[in-house]
Amino acid sequence: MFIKINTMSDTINWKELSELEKIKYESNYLRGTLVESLADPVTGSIAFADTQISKFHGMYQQFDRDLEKERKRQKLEPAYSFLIRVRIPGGVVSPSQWLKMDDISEQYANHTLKLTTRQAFQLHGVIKSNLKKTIQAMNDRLMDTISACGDVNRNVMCHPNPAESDLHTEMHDTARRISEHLLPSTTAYHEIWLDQKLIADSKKDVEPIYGDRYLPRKFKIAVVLPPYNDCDVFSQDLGFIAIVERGKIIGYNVVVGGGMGSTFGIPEAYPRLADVIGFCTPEQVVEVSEKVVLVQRDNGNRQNRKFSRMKYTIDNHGLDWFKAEVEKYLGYEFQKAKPYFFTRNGDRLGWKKGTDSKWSLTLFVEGGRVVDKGDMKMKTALREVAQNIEGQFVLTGNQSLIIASVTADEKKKISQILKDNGVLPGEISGLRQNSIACVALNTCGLAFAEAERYLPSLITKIEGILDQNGLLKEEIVIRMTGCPNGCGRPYLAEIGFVGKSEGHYNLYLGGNFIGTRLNTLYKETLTEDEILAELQPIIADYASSRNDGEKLGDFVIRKEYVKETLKGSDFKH
Amino acid sequence: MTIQLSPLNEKQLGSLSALSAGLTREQLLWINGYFQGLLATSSGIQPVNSVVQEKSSKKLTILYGTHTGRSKTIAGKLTEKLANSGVEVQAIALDEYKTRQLASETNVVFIVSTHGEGEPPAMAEDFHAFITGKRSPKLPGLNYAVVALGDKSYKLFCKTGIDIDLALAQSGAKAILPILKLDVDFEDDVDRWINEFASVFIEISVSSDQTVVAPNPVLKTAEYTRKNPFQATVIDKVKITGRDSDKEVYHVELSLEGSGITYEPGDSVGILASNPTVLVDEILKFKGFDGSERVAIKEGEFSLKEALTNYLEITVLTRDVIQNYFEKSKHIKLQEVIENEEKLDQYLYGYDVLDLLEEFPSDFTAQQLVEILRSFPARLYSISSSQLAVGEEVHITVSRVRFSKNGRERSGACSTYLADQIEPDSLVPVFIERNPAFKLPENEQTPVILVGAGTGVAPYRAFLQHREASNRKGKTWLFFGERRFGSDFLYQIEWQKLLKDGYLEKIDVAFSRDQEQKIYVQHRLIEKQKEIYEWLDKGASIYLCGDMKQMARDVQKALLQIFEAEGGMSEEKALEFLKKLKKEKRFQTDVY
Repeated sequence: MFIKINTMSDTINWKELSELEKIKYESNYLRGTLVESLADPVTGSIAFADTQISKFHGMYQQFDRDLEKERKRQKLEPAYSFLIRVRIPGGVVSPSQWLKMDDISEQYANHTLKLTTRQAFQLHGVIKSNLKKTIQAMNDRLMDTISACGDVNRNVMCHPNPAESDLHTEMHDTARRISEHLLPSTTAYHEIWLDQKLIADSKKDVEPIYGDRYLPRKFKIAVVLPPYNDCDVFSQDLGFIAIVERGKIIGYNVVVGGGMGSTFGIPEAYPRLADVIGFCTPEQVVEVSEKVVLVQRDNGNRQNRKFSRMKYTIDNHGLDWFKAEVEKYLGYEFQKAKPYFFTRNGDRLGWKKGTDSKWSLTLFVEGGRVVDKGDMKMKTALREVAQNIEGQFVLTGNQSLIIASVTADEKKKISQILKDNGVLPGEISGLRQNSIACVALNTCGLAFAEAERYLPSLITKIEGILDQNGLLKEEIVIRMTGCPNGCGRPYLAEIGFVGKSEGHYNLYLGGNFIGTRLNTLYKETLTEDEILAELQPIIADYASSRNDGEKLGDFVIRKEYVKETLKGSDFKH
Repeated sequence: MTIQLSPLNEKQLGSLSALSAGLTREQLLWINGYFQGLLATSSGIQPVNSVVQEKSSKKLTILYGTHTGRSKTIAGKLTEKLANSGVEVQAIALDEYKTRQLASETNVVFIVSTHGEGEPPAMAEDFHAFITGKRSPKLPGLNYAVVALGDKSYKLFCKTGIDIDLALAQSGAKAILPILKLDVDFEDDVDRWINEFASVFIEISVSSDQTVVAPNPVLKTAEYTRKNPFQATVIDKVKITGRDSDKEVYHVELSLEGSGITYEPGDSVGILASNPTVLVDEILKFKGFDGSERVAIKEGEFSLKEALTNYLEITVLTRDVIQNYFEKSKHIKLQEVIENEEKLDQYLYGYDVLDLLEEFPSDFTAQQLVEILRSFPARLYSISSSQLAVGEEVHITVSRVRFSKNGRERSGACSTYLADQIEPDSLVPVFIERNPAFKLPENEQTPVILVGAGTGVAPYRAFLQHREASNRKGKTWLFFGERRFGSDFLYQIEWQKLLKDGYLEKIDVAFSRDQEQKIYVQHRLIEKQKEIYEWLDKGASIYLCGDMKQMARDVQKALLQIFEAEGGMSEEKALEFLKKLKKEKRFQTDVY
């Protein structure tokens, strides 16, 4: 049953709306002038409107920011290239799909693979003339990039570890079904990238869920299995927390209204954690996702994209109102939410044996960047692993990788391959294990400062302080992003960094170890020396006066280094 | 004929009409001269043009065939010199001269350049074919002289002039002077020859009792030349190829402030560079000179090092230098090379003076060495700016020549000089080399198709700057080829802006190494053949600039193909059509 929404195109006052609304509307269901843009040989870029539409196809136009000044001097246009993000519900890929991505990254991208914080693959450095070839290569192994970016439902996250629970398969299946149900139905993707001419029924039904202007903003969904919150369910627009009784999933707690993004200087924009609004059965999950999306579609702010995320829709109208709307669209009410608890939102590294006697290895991949660097040939190692096993690869929400469902024999092989290639799942500090960094420079156009290229060395320096205080093994959640958009979910971290300008970061403290509390600004615009100077006494204090088993994020609040941020709208930069 | 308002009285008028009745032309001329003489003596001023025309042997026709205007300039100088000596001179361009008149000429001087690999310049093609062909007339009553311009670095030095000289001799004509063959730095030689010719020529004519005041030819403008270059200050120098390029192309901006120099889009600038110091040092080292040895060359006395660095050609070998070397060294092995066309050809490509010294060792003094070498020619670069846009500046686009041979790295003299030895505020000796054969159409409404590869796009930047500054939109179509889009799209953002603003109407690009099969500009021409032919139909002019060996030939082939396919022409007709375009100045080339 679909609720027909009258888009009233002739009565739309475009001047009031964000300019992107018109672009979406005029794009003829995500076609824009992409075909012409791709064919233009004079520039490596696509037309401006197309850069907005291409997002729905999983592509961001970028340019090499390290070369910006040089290129201008050379009278050459910026070194344009594209980010391509692959839709992989729950982050699960087969070895042959991994090999395909590995191939593609060598042939068409920058010889690396990025594992994102939403369990997806990201390619960087794909030039315009190779976009089609890349999409077609992926398509060969049944991978696509549809709705990996843009004002639509994004990659659906899901608990990643089959060895952790028998329920992984079912959850993964749930994530997959949600993703497919919420895919845009337009055939634009197939026409433009795959040269397929599909016959649409009639224009009216092209986008039964999204309509002709899609959503006001991005939409993020995750399905998690307590006690593991590795998908940071409270950072999502919509989350499903599996409730298990007697080894079966009896249903899900539904959480709504999370979102990380914010902007310096605009206090009306803030990160927010999702609220629990009730419980639904497994059969209701897909329908619930749809209705929540529809409520957001119909009520989200289309005037100012800074306030378009569903978190603001909820805060503006009230949570009760929101819940009632969803139930109206559903035609029934949510059941009462059931109890649950989380113990961590980081990954647990190392080997684990599942109930089916198959093994999985959670392998730390710093910054999610799969690359051969010096003696550590991670990319080569994983390629060889993929060539030698029949299990699965699962990308985690912490930018790491699980080599899953392998036999004991394969386990031996894997260990050997990793060793031979200098990838030793050895001693990684408790801090580093729980780190996330977004890409930032040199490809992200929004970055004010480094993230992926810098956090590892900063962590090394902080490890020095931890070591002095005997805390090297202590697991602490540390995250860094190059700008306040928060793609690396920094506002949930125990130690959070957000770039302000080159070499300068805001320092946030007080998130927790399970991803249920926003952190608080501690100090602004710090250089590296200042960061270390600030952290040193806090860590020393933590070492000497913490309670038994007390986590750093809780400690800094108890000791009043920062005040607890109770809700998103209280959050201040 | 009634003479009204005359200063003569009636009696005088009467005598005058009686005298003038029934006079022959010769008589009239005599009387004219008589009165002129009276005039001159009465006012006491020596007349400039006071020669009495007694016999028609004092007439001279100068026929010139030029590509860059040099022959024309020489013709002008000769005209001036002889006119001051009382000769009736006319200078005519070869493509404007009716060849059947040749049979009735008495004295003709031919001034003609040779172009590229032994070709006559476009305007001289027809005459050259005529005089060397089966229909050339017998010319027993003709006195002639040939001034041939050329470039010794090319195989067939002065071939066109030589052909004409030979043809005339064979036709029975008499040479006033033996053929004069001029290399690129010809100014002194020309001046000397003009004086020589003038004295010989006037002697063979009937001498008049007129003392001739032959004033020195006055230079009409203070022109900067190869001999007298302008020291231009470098404003900017920037590499315009991207990081991943395997070429290095520089954009150089020079200041012409205070020089009064003007140029037009299509002209070239000549640069007097210095040789790479590495090579100079290696030559000195190899021969055991320390560089301070004094040597005397045409330009004066210098240290050997300075002579090699600034005045002599050492990065390139030419036939004459190899010949000189052989004559001085008598090296047997070198004789073998000289006598074998193929071997010689090979040797002329990519070898320098050090190779010669090393492979065919011989004892030379410093003076002997410099006498073997030729003068350091200026290097010419197509100008990539329009003064309408840049005022007292001139821009050039320079590709660094660098390659390896026999385990040693070689560099182009001028491109290396510009790439390595100059910085903003350096001084570079320059002069303008006009190029009348490569100009935007006079009628600004004419559409233009611009075809270029690599640095061959330089004059098109000048053309487009010109059109933009003149606010002329549209009707420009650029075809550009290079290796890679990402790093070799010279001046990319400028073309994009011109496209956006409408001054550049269309652009087609070919990047040969961006895909498996090599795609060049000629492939793009063929792709767009229909529209190209439509443009031509509407009167468009085509321009071609770039590498001579490969590109020019391939593009011409493509054009002929287009004429055949779209114009329904046979192979012959297509060639004729191309010729017609050349004649109408609708097909212009600047190839090197």
